[in-house]
Parts: sequence; structure tokens; C-alpha cells
Amino acid sequence: MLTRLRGAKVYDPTNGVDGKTQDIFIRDGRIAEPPTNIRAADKTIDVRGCAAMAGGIDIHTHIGGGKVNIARMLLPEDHDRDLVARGRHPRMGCGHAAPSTLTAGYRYAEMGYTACFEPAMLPVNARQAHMEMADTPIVDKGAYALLGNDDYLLRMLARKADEEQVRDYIAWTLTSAQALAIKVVNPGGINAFKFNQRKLDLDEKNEAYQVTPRQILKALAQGVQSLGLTHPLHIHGCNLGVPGNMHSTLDMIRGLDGIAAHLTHLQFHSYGLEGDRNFSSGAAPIAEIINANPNISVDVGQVMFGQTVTESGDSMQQYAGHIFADPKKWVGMDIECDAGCGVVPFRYKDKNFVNALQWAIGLELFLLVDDPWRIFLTTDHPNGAPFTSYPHLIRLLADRSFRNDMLATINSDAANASHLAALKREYSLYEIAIITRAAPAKSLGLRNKGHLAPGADADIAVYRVHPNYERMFSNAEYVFKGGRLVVQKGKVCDEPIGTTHVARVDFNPTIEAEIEQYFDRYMTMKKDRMMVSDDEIRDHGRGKLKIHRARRRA
Amino acid sequence: MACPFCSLLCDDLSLSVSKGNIAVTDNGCRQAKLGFEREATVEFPRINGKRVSQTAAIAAAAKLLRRAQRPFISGLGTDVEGIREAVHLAEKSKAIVDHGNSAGFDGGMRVMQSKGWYMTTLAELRNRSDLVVIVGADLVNHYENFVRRFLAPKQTLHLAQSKPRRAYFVGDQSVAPKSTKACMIEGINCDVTRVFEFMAALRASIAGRALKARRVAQASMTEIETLGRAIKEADYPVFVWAPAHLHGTQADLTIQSITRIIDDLNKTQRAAGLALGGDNGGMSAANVCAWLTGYPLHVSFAGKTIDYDPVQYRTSALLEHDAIDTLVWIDAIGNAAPPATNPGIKRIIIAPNQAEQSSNADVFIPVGVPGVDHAGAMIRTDSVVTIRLDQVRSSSSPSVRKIIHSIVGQL
Repeated sequence: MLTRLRGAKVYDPTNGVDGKTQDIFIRDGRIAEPPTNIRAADKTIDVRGCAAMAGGIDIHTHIGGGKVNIARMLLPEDHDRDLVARGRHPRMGCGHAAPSTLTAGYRYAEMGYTACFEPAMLPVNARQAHMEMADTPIVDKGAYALLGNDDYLLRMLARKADEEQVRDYIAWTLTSAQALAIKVVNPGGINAFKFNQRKLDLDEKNEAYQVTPRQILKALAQGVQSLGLTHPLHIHGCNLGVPGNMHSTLDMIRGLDGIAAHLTHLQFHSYGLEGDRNFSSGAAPIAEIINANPNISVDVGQVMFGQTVTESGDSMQQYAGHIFADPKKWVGMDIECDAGCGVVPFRYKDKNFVNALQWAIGLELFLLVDDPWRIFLTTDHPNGAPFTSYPHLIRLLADRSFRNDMLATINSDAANASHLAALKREYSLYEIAIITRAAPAKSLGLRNKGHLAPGADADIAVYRVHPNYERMFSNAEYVFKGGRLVVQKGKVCDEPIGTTHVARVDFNPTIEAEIEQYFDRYMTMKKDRMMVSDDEIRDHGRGKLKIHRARRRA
Repeated sequence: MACPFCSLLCDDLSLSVSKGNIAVTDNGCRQAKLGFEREATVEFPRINGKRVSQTAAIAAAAKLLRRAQRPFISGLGTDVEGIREAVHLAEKSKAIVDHGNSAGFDGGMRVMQSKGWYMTTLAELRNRSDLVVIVGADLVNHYENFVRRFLAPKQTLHLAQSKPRRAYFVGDQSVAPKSTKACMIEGINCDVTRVFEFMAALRASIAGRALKARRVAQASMTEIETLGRAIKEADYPVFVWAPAHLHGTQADLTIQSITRIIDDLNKTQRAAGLALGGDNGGMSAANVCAWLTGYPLHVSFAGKTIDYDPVQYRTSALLEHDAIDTLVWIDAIGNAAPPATNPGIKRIIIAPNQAEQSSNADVFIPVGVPGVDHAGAMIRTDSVVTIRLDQVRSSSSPSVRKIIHSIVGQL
């Protein structure tokens, strides 16, 4: 069957299409070449006057796994304020800061998003993360496996293991956890916190292993690059949230010596120490170094005002931050010689100097980083704000007068301390399409996604154009997932199962024997029982698996 | 092989299978033997005790649920897949859903939701904890393998090989675990109804506040002070409790008194807690229900939106107050008979091949045991590790997932 979307204004940056009015054809789940005779279409949907883009891709959103589920259990009062009535979606659920899996999938789809990536999957918790993602409907998904605080890797680095062995371990972890990429969180710091170290700077040694964050970062970033993975090491650096941490961030970028890296939720790592309150924006120097280093990509982790919950593997910094918990409760955990986590509810307040400045710093980064192909739109859901605030964020980026109106309402000292008012840039729809779909797809190596050329997956979002972009992007007019109509007039009408994307690269089997021995000696389950199989993801046809094969670089 | 019969989900058991009957040959425990060595019998679906086809039984169950005004789905003694389907069934039939033994791990949930806590997992305890304080948890009768696997393993990553690990057992000494070469366990006798008082005294002692009392909850202040010193000197003290083994109404209070000590300690040193519980699919049920609905069990789908009420929607309360008209009882793992209900309450029982379970049922549908008759996955007591379960013997018994999926399809 050939479906024609008639007369859309198409924003497809991958193919250089900037608002041109054209038809989009769909056949067998993919974008099709226009037929010679337009009447060949079996079905025509009139979308004249609407903007069409590839489905949105969230490169960093906490949608599944242990800490997400802890947040759900911790916050019944937050769910109570955002319950989904029977009939609104195919299944009931709850939304807001820690939404149920079902509601998360539906709401992403309603906003025109068709793929979401969980950025912090603990290898020991991978099965649960995948099970939760399997219950996240419509969207495609994938996850990044956490390394860098696990005793296995730290032992390797402490005994100065061969780089080849580290690469094999990374490759094995990808397979075992069914991951698409590798993430590091507070390198070595989560482990150090288990030994009661309360901070760990870039060149400070983890006392138990005498290994520094810089060593861990380099080993992993280099390893990921040599393995030929498309998405570079996904880095949540040292000192998250600590005033003055911009210096660790700058130092880390310089230290990477050109190795590719993705710095996530950069806003939380861009703080200076200037001013009466020793808290200032580091956005300008951070943006400058990013502009100068094409090996670096970032996502912002924008803060929005209101109630949310912060969920992080960074037990060290979450411990430090728990005194600000609102409501006053939090959960911390040391996890299975693998990592840790901290779940701290939080309310960002526009009249609070620090929160208001965090908001401004995020926006400054968006506006000061020149290349939209290297900066992605995120709130680090739900850490900066729930993902449902994306339409509001898009309006802030694209509408300077709205932005300045908002700026006038925040804590005035913070507003005065920020350069935001002077930044004239406004994102165009073309640039919005880059930072929300084209660039994330490219960064993750999803060649058939994020664009609308013939052959691409027919994941398409059609928005009714409105001068208020918040309204425009809140509810898509039509969303197609793999060619199937899943949203109509902002309401979910079908819920196909999304595909799980994983990366795979060969490894030397001797590493597997060593890991097996380690598990038998020290762990609380067998190595084979930790590994998640392809069949478990496919689950007798309930799930789909797409394996992206990587080739080692010479 | 992995064992589904308690929430430790040990995966180092050896089993032998002959003609469908299983024997635990190594690394088993009482629960594992009871579960695996249950005699394999052939059972048939029944309606009012009469043998029927599976199709007929499924249709009858669906019919009862369509007619029900106040259906209740409980037991949930099954694997992740079975629980996923049970929650879906609850939504479709506008039912309340809970785990059969939610009272056994609820206490912890309420403490977590009011103040939060700092916890750890089995491998952290095993490799890092130089001092384990077991508060009333009856390891001997319920978690027999805990000592062998986690307190007294041959090797650890971070503890000195030269000296044994230290542990204290606070509680009724008749169920105190015995020391081994690798783990020295000392007992402190404590009145099980007053453990929270003991913990308050311990907290004061750790904080350096002198108490006038000479004995608290049967323990001497000297013992409490010695324990307090040991905790302060330890690198990574871990407190282990089992909500179901703490004294009834005071379980919450006791757990909170422990987590406060942990919070105090973490200001300057490191410490953490570990709760044992959620057997018979309980931990899986709490997690699956949390991700599907936002709430860890005690959920009603009767209204326009999901309603969470851990007091009202709890199995014991609902059965006691006659608040339901139809019960769907799912238990593919446990050995216990389904709960008694008042006359007039329709009963749909989904359980393995056990004759007594079919009695009193309006509809009985036999199912296999996850990890025995079919593969599956369950979530461990620390809520972090999900253990994959294997099919151990060839079996034609369907899974809970399959049966409930079929019922859902008819609603």
C-alpha cells in the first residue's frame, strides 16, 4: 500500500530540505520514492500547511531500569497529580516526573517522538531495563551500558591491563547487556564513594584502586573509538552540580586529545565560581571549547521550573545533593560491585538564585554552541525536567521575545548574572529538526532514522504550524511509526511495538572465560545468567531487535 | 540451575530429573527442596470441580470476570511475565490487584516512601561488608543459603582473607545462624516485640549519647555499646532485616529506626541496609506493577483513573472485610493453599498441579511452575538483579502468562 502525505512543509536537515512544500510517500514501513503517477497512491492524507519532520529522537532520557523504578515507587504523590483517565490512551497509567512505562511511550508519541534512549543501564540490571523498555509502547528504544565504576574494569586498570583486553571487555559488555553504546558516570567516583571518598577530581586517585577518573575516561573513550562504535563514549563527568566544575569539564575536553566523546547534560557541568554567591555561568568558555573541538558532541540537560525527581547513577553527588531533597526523602544505593544510584526528588524554583541561573546556563549553552549537529535537545529527563516540557523548551530556543519575557520573571540576581538577554539567536524549525532528530540519529548511527529520504524508516511527525511553538510541538497532528499511523490529532490511535537497537562488535573469547571465573569467584550470580539473550529481547515476536554491527578500527 | 522458591533466587543449585520428578542434589535449602521436589501430577482444568477443556475454563473465567462488580486479582505467585499479564487483566476487568503476601514486604515500602533510605545489594554485602548486623531476620528457616553464599564465601574482592567476617544477630537467639570459619556470628538476645527500642538505644550509643537504662529490650547496655563501637569501627557495616520477620505492627517503626542509624552513619562513614523479602514473586510483582502503573501494588482499576491505596487495597484487608465478589488467585510458585473466602465469592484459581487447589474453585486452571516447567525471569530481594529461570523438565503445563493472556483476550 502506498500512502501519500500531501503538501507538507518538510524539514529534513539530513537531506538539506528546509521547509520546502512536497509530498511524502510511505510504502511497507519506509519512505518511498514519489511514483511517476501521483494517483498511484492508495491513500492520501492532506497535510497542506503542516510541518513534517522525521520522528523525534531523545538521545538521553531515563525511561527504564532500577533507579527509574525506585523513583516511581518513591513518589506516589507525584503520580496522583497526573493520572491518565481510562480511554485517554490504550492503557491507563500515570505521568509527570516518574511516569509509568506505558504513559511515557504514549506521551512521547503524542509529541512526535518515535525513539528514546535510556542512558544509564547497569549491566547487572540490564534485564530489568529491557523489560521496562519492552513495556514502553510505540517508540524504538535502546540503552547505554554503564562502565567505569565496576570493580572488574577498575581491577583491569589497576593492574595496567592491555588496551586490547579493555576493548574486549567493552565489547563483551555491549553483548551481555544488549546495549547500543557505553556510558560512564562520575568515572571511578561511584566506586570511591563506597570506600567513603566524598569527592573525586579528574586527577584524584580512587583510593582502593589508585586509578584516576582521567585514566578511566581515556581508557573507555579510546576503547569505544577503537571498537568502531558510532556513538562515542557518553560521559557524565566528575563533580556534577558542584560550583566551579566548569574547570573539570574544560580540563577533561583538553585531556581527550581529540578522541571522540559525547558530554551529557552539560548544563550540570558548566558552573563557575564568580560573584557574591560563588556560583556563576561557565557557558561561554564551555561553548567556546566545544566550538573549537569537533570531536565533542553534547546534550544540554536543560532545567525547567517545577517539581521533578533526579535519578542518577552518581551516588557520590546524589548523596551530596540529598540535603536539598523536596519532598524531604531520597533513596541511595550501592549496587552489586557494578555502580550505584541516587534518587532525589527536587523542585527547581524560578525565584531561587541557583535554580534560575541553572535555567539560564542551559539556554546559554544552546545558544552559544554554534553547530546544531553537535548539541542535542534534552532535559536529562527527569533530572532537569520531565520530557513533556520539550515543547516549552523549543519555544524558549526559537522565540527570543518569549525567552526574554521568561527571563524577566526569574530571580533578578540570576537574570542579571546571565548574558542570556544579550543572546539574539533564535532556532529555526530547520535547526529544531537537527537537534531533536537528525543529529541524534547521526550520532547514534541510526542510518534509517532522523531523516525522510526514500528508504528511511517511515517514522514521521506532522505538526500543525502555529506561531507558538510550545503549542505546535505539544501534540502532533499525525505521527507515523514504521509507516503505521499511531497518533491522530494529538491522540494515540495505535500502539505497535518498537525495535530495540543494540550495537555488537566481536571480542576475543578469552575475555569471556576470565569474566566467568570472576563471576564464579566473587559475584552473586553466574555470568551466563546475567547476560541478556537476543531471544529475550525478541520475546517470541513481542519485541524486535536491530543489531548495528561495528567494525574495529585498525 | 536457578531457584524461584525464595527471593534470593540462588542460581548455583544442582538438580537431577527423572520421569518429571526433580531432586535437588547440591546447594539446595528447605524451600528449594519443597518446591522442586513436589511430586509431578497430572491435573486438568475444572469448572465447579468438573473436568473441562482449557478453552472452556478460560471462557468461564472470562465470563465470571465480565459479570464481576468487585473483582480482585491476587496471589501473583508467578514470574515477571505472569505478573505483566495479571496487571493487564486487572485493568481490563476493572479489578484491584495486589500480591498475596504484600503484608510481608509492605513495611519497607512505607518507610521508603516517607523518608527514603540507603540500601545495598547482595554482591556489595558479600565483597565489601566487614560487619553485618542481622536484625531479626530468620535466615535459618527462610534464607538458609544466605550464610553460605553471602556471609561466608571462600573469596571476596575487598575483605582481608586472613580474618573472618564479623556478624551480629540481634533477636530471638533460638533462630540465630551459626558461625562458620569464614564468618563469626555473635548473638545479642533481644525481645522481638521491642526491636525498635533496641535500635533507638543503639542509635543513641553510636551518637555518643549516654542512656541511663541498663537493659533495653532484654539486651544489656554493654552489649548495645559494644555493637555500637563495632559499627563505628567498621568500613562498611550493613544492616539486614526481613520485614515479614519483624514483629507485626511495629515492623515500620523498626525498619525506620534502622534506616535512621544508617543515615547518621553515612554522614561521616559508610553504611547501608539490605531487606530480605518479596518471596513467591513479591519483589517481581512490586516492580512490575510500579513500572506498568507507577505504583508498587495495592492498585485499583475500578475507577476512571488508577487508585493507589496501600491500606485499603491489601490482600488481607480485602479478604477480611468481604470487599470483593470475585477472586482470581494466581500462585504458580508457593506451596500454600489459596485463602479461604466467604460463601458467594466466585473463585478463579490459577495454580500448578495440586488437587486441593481445585476444590472450592468455580474455575481451576492448572499452570506450570516458572523455573521448573517453563523459562522465565524473577526479580531478586535487592530489587536490582533479575534472574533468568530455565525450564528444568519437559512439561505441557502452560505458563500463567499464557493463560491470563487468553483470558484478557476475551474481555
